[in-house]
Amino acid sequence: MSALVLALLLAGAPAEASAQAAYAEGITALRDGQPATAAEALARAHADGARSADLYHALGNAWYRSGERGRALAAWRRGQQLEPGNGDLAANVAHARADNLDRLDPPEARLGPFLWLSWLAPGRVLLAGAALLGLALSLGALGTWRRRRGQAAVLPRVGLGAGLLGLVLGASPFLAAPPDAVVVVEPAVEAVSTLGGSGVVLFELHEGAEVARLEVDRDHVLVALPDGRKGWLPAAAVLSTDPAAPLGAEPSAQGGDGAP
Amino acid sequence: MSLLVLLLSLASALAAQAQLRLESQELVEGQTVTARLLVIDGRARGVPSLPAGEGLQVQFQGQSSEFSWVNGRSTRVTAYVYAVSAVRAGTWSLGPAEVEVGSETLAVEALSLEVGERDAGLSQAGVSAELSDDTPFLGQTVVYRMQYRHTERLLDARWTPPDYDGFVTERSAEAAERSYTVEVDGQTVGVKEVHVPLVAVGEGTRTVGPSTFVGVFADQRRASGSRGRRDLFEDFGLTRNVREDRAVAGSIPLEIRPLPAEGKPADFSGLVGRFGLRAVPGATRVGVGESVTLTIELVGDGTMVGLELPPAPEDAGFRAYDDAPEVAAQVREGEFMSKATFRRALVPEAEGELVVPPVELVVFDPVDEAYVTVRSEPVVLQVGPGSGEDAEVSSFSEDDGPRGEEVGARGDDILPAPREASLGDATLQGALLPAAALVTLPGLAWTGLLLAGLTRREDPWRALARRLDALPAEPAERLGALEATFREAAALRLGRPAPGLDEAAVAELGEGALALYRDLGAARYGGLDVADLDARVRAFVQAGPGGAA
Repeated sequence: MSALVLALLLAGAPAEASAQAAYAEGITALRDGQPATAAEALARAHADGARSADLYHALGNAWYRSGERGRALAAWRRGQQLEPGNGDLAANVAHARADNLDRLDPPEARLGPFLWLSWLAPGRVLLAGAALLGLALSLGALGTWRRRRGQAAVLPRVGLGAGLLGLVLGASPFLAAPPDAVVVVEPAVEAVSTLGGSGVVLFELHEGAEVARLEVDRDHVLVALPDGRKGWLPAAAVLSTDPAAPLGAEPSAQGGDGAP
Repeated sequence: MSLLVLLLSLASALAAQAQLRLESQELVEGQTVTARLLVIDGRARGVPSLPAGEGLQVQFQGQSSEFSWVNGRSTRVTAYVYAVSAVRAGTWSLGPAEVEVGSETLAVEALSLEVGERDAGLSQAGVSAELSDDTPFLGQTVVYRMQYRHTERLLDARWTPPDYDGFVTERSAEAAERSYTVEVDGQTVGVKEVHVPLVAVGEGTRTVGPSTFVGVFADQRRASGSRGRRDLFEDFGLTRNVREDRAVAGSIPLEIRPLPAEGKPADFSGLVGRFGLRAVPGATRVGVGESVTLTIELVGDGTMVGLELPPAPEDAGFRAYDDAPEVAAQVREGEFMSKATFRRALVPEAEGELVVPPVELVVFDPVDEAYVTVRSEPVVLQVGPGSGEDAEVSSFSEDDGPRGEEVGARGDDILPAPREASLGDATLQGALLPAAALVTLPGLAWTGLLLAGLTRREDPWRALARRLDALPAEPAERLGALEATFREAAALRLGRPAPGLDEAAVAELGEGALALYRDLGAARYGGLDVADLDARVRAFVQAGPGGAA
């Protein structure tokens, strides 16, 4: 098993090195005043598997300098999900939102009792929980081995506490609901009532507007406004704020009847 | 409090001192005030005699002492208290006096008292109100004086101020209160006065409205009732044996006059009243580039709130830096007095004699009804060579604070991305594999151990030997454990269950085993060496399945 993990880790090393090179190229281009080149390089780093707040920060900056404010907002929001306490990202988001034409409150995560997720990245919380659970299991194994030898167990209460805490921490990212949102990346986009030619235009959104995503159907996304209104937007006109999502148009996923 | 101030001011003086203090130096016929002769750090021989003018009567009331620690040394103040009654109008002196303290005689300076004629209305209980000037000029400060007279003992009082039409209350001073008694035809009349400083702000005919004064007195009629029951209810606050006397002071019509436009100087300061101005330098010798503080004091009977000094003249051979003024004001003896203190740092620019020109202010005098200029005397400074570039200008602001300004924002933009970045997969999906590894590896290890424990059967003879290694220390328990171990070992060797063993069965294992069986049974009742049994049971177990005891 350990050999398998080691193999997986080693397999990822070349991709991370490539991502590092692409990131360095992107930062250099950004500082040289070539945001389009920077965006290309940073997108390569993303394609190499990089999914960090720093990458999304740089990518957002490159897009912002290229005049793509909506994409920049989406990238920074992705970075915020990976590092909720990152002040630079928060400042950039606030700066970009100031130019929004639509006055909309962005969808917020429903964290429930897991308040630590408001300042810790879900991936890190999961790793911390797994580490605690692993510690508890290790202590349990050690205790079993020692009991076989007629010796007492090692720190049984510590093991039990670590196990419970690890379970709570590890489960919290899955129990809390992250905001499933998209950001409009086109200057203006119309939301229609249904897919196909019979839909009527319900409302119009502008670049930078961040709305909740309810459903994806072929090339459209069903979104909801804070006041409850819903409408279908072209998937190419929005970019997800999910840090694990691709950078291009939303993929065709589930089927649907197209009714909001 | 005033005593404490006195102590602080006199703390440095080691020798005994004496001072005379008087509640008020302006009285009316029949009025009685308290005088205190204070002896600091000394004890007078006998009661000091306090001589007074013909129009005054002085009566010794008593004395009190107070100790305080000031600047690390004790200070004792003995106060000799006198009641001073004004019996005739005129100007009279109280003192001077001599106080014998130890071997020395302390001189006490005399105080002057103005005794005015008694108002005819003073003999009657009631309330009256007046303004110090009912034709004031715009901007002039006047005092609203309310006087409440009573012939019974006043327990409490409430006063509702009037509507000061055409006035605002002076911001630099609070209303003053004073109480005293006056003897009128053998009857004691209590007087309570409230003095409110006002500034005229609205021209024309105005009316200061009526004000209400409520005096609370003991209710003699109810007090003469059932005393015991009253006390009981009073204890619980259920009854009030008091009565309230409500009196209303009438309205005061007045005329607020505008300041004359004719002859009004362009540099009129806005002050209305009678003022005096003086300037005192902190030093008369100063170096070039060094600073000396010029303290400018303006004293008068008008408001000085918001006043600013005229700027120092340019090219006068010095630079000037002004501090914010301190304004203090109070109503005393029914009159408003105000004082503003300005501190101006002067930095001479050349050696030689420097004449600082007088500070001038144009004010309006409501008595003379004219604009007048008040000025200080010019100040002469001798300016010597300074200490060069190291010279510092004294300032009254917080010198130690940072002198720079806040960095202003001239624009807003996004914040740059870091050059060095962590580029792993920080998403939840990216953390799944390492998290699984963190849990799986120790989990698998533990599971393997548990499974190994299930599948592997331990040698029973080794288990018995390990049990003998962990025998309890207490003799009875140890003996029981030895017997149980022996029975299990014997059962193993015979291939029977241990509970079914009896003496006949053990006999099949030989004499030695039988003897051990019997000795273990007998040992329960005492008399046998447990250590010996321990060794024999160990030998039996170590012999294993085919061994002979």
